[in-house]
Amino acid sequence: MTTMTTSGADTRSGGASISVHDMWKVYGSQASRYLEAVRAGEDTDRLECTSAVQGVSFDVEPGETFVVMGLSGSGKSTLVRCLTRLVEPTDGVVDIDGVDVRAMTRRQLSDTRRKDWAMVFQHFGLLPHRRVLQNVAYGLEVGGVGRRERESKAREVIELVGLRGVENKYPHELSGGMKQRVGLARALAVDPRLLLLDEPFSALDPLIRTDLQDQLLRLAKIVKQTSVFITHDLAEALKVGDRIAIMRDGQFVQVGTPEDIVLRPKDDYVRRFALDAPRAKVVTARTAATRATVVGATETIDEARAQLVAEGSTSVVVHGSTPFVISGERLRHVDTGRSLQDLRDGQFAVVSPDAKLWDVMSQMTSTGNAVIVRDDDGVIVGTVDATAVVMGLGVPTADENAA
Amino acid sequence: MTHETVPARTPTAETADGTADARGAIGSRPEMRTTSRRTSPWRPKSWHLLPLVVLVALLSAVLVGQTAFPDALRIQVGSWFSRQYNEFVVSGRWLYEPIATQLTTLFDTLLNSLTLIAAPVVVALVISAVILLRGFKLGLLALAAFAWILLTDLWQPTLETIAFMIVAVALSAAAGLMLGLLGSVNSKSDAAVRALVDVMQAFPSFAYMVPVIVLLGIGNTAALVVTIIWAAPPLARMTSVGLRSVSPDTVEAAVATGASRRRVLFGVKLPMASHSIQAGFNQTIMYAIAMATMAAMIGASGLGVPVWGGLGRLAFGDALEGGIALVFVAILLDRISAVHPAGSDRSGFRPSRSKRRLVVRAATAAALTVGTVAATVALRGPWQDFDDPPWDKVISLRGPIESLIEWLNTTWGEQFDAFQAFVQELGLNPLGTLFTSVPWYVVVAGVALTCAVLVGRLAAVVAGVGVLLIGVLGMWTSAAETLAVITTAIGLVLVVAFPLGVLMSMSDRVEACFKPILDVMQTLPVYLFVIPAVIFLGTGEVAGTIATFIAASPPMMRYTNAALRNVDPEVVEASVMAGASPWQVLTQVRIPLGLPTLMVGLNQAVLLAMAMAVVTAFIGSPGLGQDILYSLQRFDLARGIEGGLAMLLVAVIIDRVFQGAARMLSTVTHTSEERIEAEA
Amino acid sequence: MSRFVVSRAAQRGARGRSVTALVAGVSVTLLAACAQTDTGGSASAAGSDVAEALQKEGEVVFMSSDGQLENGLQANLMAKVIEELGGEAGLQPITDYTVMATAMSKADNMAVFDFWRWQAPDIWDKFVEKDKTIVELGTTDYKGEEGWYVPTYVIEGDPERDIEPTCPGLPDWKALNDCADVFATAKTAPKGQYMEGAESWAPFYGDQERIDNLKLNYEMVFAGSEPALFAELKSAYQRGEPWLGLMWRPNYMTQIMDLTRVEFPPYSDECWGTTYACQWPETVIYQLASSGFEEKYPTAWKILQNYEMPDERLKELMSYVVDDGMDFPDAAQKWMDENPEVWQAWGDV
Repeated sequence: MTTMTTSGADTRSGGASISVHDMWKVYGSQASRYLEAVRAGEDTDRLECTSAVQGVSFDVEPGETFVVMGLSGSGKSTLVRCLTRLVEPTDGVVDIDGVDVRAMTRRQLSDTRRKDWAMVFQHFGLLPHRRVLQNVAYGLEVGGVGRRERESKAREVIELVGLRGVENKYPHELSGGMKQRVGLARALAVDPRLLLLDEPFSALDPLIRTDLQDQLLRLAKIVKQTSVFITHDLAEALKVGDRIAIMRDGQFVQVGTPEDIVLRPKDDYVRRFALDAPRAKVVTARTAATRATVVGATETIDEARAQLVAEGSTSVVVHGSTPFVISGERLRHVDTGRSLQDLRDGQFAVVSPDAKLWDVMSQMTSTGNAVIVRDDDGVIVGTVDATAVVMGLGVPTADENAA
Repeated sequence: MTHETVPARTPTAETADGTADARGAIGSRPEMRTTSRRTSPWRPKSWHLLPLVVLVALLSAVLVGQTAFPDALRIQVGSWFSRQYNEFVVSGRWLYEPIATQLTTLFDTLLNSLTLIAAPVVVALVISAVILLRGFKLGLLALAAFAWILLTDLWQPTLETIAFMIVAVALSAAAGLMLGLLGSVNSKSDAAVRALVDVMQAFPSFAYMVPVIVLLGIGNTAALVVTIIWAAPPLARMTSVGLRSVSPDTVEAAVATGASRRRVLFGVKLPMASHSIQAGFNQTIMYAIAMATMAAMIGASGLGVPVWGGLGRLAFGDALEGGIALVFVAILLDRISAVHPAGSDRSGFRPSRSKRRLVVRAATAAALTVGTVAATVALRGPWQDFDDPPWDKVISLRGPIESLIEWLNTTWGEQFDAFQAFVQELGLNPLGTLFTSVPWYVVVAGVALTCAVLVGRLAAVVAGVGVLLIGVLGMWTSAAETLAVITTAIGLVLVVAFPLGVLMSMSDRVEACFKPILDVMQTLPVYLFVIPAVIFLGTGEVAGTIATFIAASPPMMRYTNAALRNVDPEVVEASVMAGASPWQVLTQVRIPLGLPTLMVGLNQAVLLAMAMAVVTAFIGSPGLGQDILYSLQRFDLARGIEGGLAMLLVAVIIDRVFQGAARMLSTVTHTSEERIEAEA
Repeated sequence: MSRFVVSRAAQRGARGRSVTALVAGVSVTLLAACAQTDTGGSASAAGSDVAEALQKEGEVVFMSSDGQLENGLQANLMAKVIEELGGEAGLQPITDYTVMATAMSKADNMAVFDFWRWQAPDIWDKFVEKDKTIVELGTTDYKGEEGWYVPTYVIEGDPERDIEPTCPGLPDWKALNDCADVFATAKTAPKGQYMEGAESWAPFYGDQERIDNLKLNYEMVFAGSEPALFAELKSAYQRGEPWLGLMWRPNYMTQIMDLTRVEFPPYSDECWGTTYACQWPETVIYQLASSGFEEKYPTAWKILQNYEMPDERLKELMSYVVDDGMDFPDAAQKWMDENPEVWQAWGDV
C-alpha cells in the first residue's frame, strides 16, 4: 500500500474498500509523547492529552454499509473524520482503495475528495447563501465541472432524492428533512465511491428520520457505494448497517452483524444496548427457526411418526408445492390410517431464512399457524411458531441473565 | 479587553458585548434588535436601488450648482443650550456642589490612605491578590508591571491612577448596575435606558468635558464625572441583557414557590445574570482606564500626566514609559476581571489538582504579604517610599526613542512624504471633493433611502431628519470633512487590517502572535502615537487619517478573525470534503458566512474612527473634531455642543445602517441559529 | 473653595515628610507615624515665623504645564521653595489656559507664573477684567517674543549639517514672498505655508489679517495643538528642511533650536487689533493668582511678590532640563541647592 496509484480512479464502478489499522487520534500538545507512554504502558496522567480514537482497526468491504455506533464523546465523529483526514490521525494506517491516505499530498487529497469521497453531516453543512441547486452542485463546481454539466447532474440527483421543485430555494426556506435531502444529494452528486455519514438523521423528527433511512437503503441499492455511517441510535444502526461497530471511549467494543450485536453481545455494555433493540427487525427466521422433521407428502403417518421420534423434533413439515406443518402432538394422536395430506389444517406461510422476525410474525398472524422457513434452494430450514418467536425476540432466559 | 470573547456567531447574539473596545465610540452594544422583526432575506430587489441613488447623487451634483447646506436653515442650538446651561451653573449650585465635594473627599481620602501604606506592602498586597485570584502567570505579569513602574520611577502617578480607578470603577459600576436594573424592568424602561446609554457613549467625551469643567473646574473630580459617564454604559447594557435573558421558566419556578419580587431579583435573576454582568464589569473597567488617561487633559492626576507631559515636551520616550505602565495596568485589570469562558476552564479538567493549586496560591500569597510586611518593619528606612525611591531612575526610554525617531525621520523622510502624498491624492482629495460636491438634499435623500432598504421605514425617516439636523446645526462642512478622513481610514483598514485578520484566522500561530500586539495597541493611549505621527507625516489630514486607521484596525482584525473562525464548522468541513482549496473555503464559505460578524467589526471600526476625530484634531485633522477641540480650548459651549450633537448623529446613523446590513446578512445564516435552538 | 482643586499637594507633602508607615498583616493596620511631620529643618534661614504663618495659611497650588518648560519649571521651583520655607504647596497639572483659568477662578489658593496674555485675551477679559475672579500677581522679569519663526539655517545655511541657505533675505519680512516656494508644501503650493498652532489661537494673533494686509503669498495651516506644532518644527529641523511658523521664546523649542524671528514692520497700537500688519508687541508675561489669594494667604503672597526670575536665571534653569535631561523637580532642586541665598531671601517677609 505504499505505492501510490492515482487514488483508485481506475476502478470507478462499485464502492471503495477501507482498511484501518491501529488508528489513534490524540489531542494535546504532547500527543506523540502520550502515544509513546501508552504503548509503553506508562502512566499518562501528567500529560495533558485526551485521546479520542485509541488504536482502532477495521476493514470495510466494497459496497458494504459499515455503521459506527456509540454515545456522544465515544470518538465516533473523530473516527470518521480521521478516515478522510478532515482530522489528522495521530498514528496508524488508513488505507482506502489500496492507497495510504495518510501519505497523500494535499493535492492528491483534495483530488480524491472531489472525485471519490463525499460526506453527509448531522447539521447538513449547507451553504446558507446558495440555492439548493448550487448547493448540490457545489462538489462538482469545486471539482471544476462546467456550469451546464454540473447543474444537469445536480438536477438529476435532486430528482433522485425527491426534492424536485425546490431547486431555487435557499436552505433556510426548507424543513430539516428537506435540508438533509439536499445534503444527501450534494454528496451523491459526485458519484462517490465512499460515502461518510456523520449522524445524518439525528437532528430530524422520528418520522422524517425513518423516511430518510428508507430512502438511503433504496439509494444504496442503486448507487452501490461503500458507506461509513455514524450514529448514536442502535435501532438506526441495526436498520441500515451490514456490519456494526460499537464504540466506547475511543475503542471498538464489538464489531459484527446486527444479529451478532443483538444476540451475541460481547459484554454488558453492548448487552445493555441490545436489550432495547427492536429484535423483531434484526433476528432472522433462520436464527429463530426450530428444527422440524421434513417428510414427503406421500409418506404415511407412521413413517412420519417414526422419523419425528428419531430426530427428536417437535413438528413435521410436509414437503411439497404447498408445504404445511403438523405439530408432533397432533401427529401422535391421529388415526394412523389417514394420509398426511388429510392432516393439513389451514394456511401456511413460507419465508426465506433471511426474513426478519417482524415479517415472520406478520405472516403468522395472517395464517394463524407456524411459519415455514425455506431457503432459495427449496431446502426446509425449520419452522417458526409462537414459542420460537418469543425465544427469538430474546425475552431473556435464565441462562442469559446468569451470564 | 476581553477580546477573546469576540461574539460567537451572529451580531444578534446577546452576549456580543464582550468585544467592545476600551475606547470604542458607541462601544459595541450587545444587541440592537430594537425592532426584532424578521426581514426577508437578501431582498434582492431593494439592493438595486443603491447604485441608482449614487447615480442620482452624482448627476445632481453635476447639474445643480448649490451643494452646501443653506445658512437660512441654520438654528442656533448651541447658543441656546449655552445660555440655559450657564443659568444652571448659577441656579443648580445646591445640586452639584455637594456631589463634587463628596467625590473630592472620597478620592483624596483614598489616595492619602494608599500613600500611608508602605509602598512595598502595597506592591506585595496587589501581587498576592493577583496570585490568589488568577494564578501565578498573572502574578508574574503583576511583578513585571511593578518592576517597570519602579524602574521608570512612576510610582506616584501609578498610585494616583489606582486610586482614581478604584473610585471611578466603583461609581461607574454602581451607576451601570442601577441603569441596568432599571432597564430590565420592562420593555419600555429598556428602550429608555438603552437610548440614554447610546447617547452617553456616542456623544464624544471631549464634548461633554467642557460642560463638566464649567461646573466642577478641572481636576480629578471633573475627570471622575467624565469617566463615570463614559464607563457606566457597558455594564448597564450587559446587566440589562443578562437580567432579561434569565430563563422565564426559572423565574416562574421561583415565583411559584412564593418568592417575593426582591427575592426573585437578588436570589435568582442577579446570580443567573452574573456571567453577563461580570463581562460588563470588565468592559467598564477597560473604558474607565481609557478615559482616566484621557482625562489628564482636564487635570486628572495619574499616569496620563507623564504621557501628556512627555508629549508636550516632545519627549516621546518619557511619554512611552508612562504609556507602557498604563498598558501594564490595563492588561492586569483586564485579565483579573475577565470572564473565563465557561467550559474552557482547564482547572475544571482535574478538580483535585485545581484544589491543590488554590492552596499553593494562597500559601504563596500569604507568605509574600507577611514576608514583605516583616521586611518592611524590620528594615524601615527609605525602602518604604517608592515615590522618592532610594535608587536613580534605571530605565529611560528618552534617549533611544529620540534617536530612533530622528533616524527614521532623517533616513526615511522622503518615503514618508511620498506616502503622505499618496494618501492625500488617492484618498482624501477625491473623497473630500465627493462629499462636499454632493448637494445636501441628495445626501439627506440618499441616507434615508439606504436606511429604508437596510433597516426600515421609520429608521429612514429618523436618519433623514438626522442628516438634516447636522446641517441645521451648522456642521455640514465639518461633517463632510470628518467623513472624508474616516472613509479613507476605513479604506486603509479594509486593505490592510482585513487581510491581516484573515491571516490571523488561518493560522493559530499568527493569531497568537498578533493578539498581544492588538492588546497593547488597544490599551496604549491613542494620543501617544498621534503626536509622534506628526514627526513623520506632518500635521493635517494625512497624519489624522493614519492615526485613525491605526486606532480602527484592531477591532477589524479581531472581528475578522472571530468571524472567519466561528463559521459553522460543518459547513467548512462540507466544503473541505468537497475538495475545496483553502482559498475556496475562505471565499466561498468563511467570508460569506462570516459576513454578519464582519459587518459588526466594520461598524466597530467606523465608530472607533469617529471617536478618533477629536484626538486627531490635536494634530490638525479637519472636521467635527476641530469644532469640539475649539470648544474645549475656548470654552465655547455652543460650538462644542453642536459639534458633539453632529458627531452623535453621524455615529448613530452609521451604526444603524451597519446593524441593519448585518441583520439582513445574518438572516441567511439562521440555519445555524435554528440549530443552536434545537440543541438547547 | 479649595475643595475644587484636587491637587497633588497632599501626596507631595507626604513625600517630603518621608512618612514612615508600617503595616501589620493583611488587615492593613496603619501605624503611620503621621505626627512625624517635621519639615526637614532646612528652612532655618527664613525663620520659624514664616514657617508658622505659612503652616497656618494652608496649601497653595501652582498651575504647572509639563509641556511649557518655563511654566512647569517655575511652578515646581516655587512649590519646592514654599515647602522648604515651611508651607504646603501643590501642583495642578494643566494643558490648557481656559481650563486653567476656570479652575483658578473657582479657587482662592492658586497661582500661575507664566501667562501669555495675547494667547488668551478673552480669558483676560472675562476673568481678570470682568469677573475679577483672577488677579494680577505681577509680571515676569523676562519678556516674551512671539512671532513668525524660521530655523536660522534657512537664512544662513549650516555648513556642518551641509544645509544651504534657502531664504537668505530673511529675517526681513519683505523677503517672504520671494521665498514662498521654499515654504510651500503639497497642501499649500504654490503658496508658502505658515503654520499656526490651533484654530482657537488664531483670532488673537491676527495672522490672517497680517497675510492679507501685507499681501503675503502664504496660507495659514493649523497644526492642531501645541505639541503638534512643536512636532512639526522638530521634524523639519531634524530633516534640515525650511519651516515657517508660530513660535515664541522663552520656550522649549527656542531653547533647543537655533531659530530666528521674522522682522515685520514695528509694532504700533494702531496696527495691533486692526490690520495686524506689524510685529507682535513685546510680550509682557503675567503672573496671576486667584482673587482671594492675597487676603487668605498673605505670607505666601508676599513670598511670590519677592520672587524674581530674570532671563539668565530662567535660561540656567531651562538648561538643566534641556541639556542635562533632568525632570522639573530635579532641576528646581539643583538650582535651589546651588543658590540657597537667592531663594531664602524671597522668604524674608
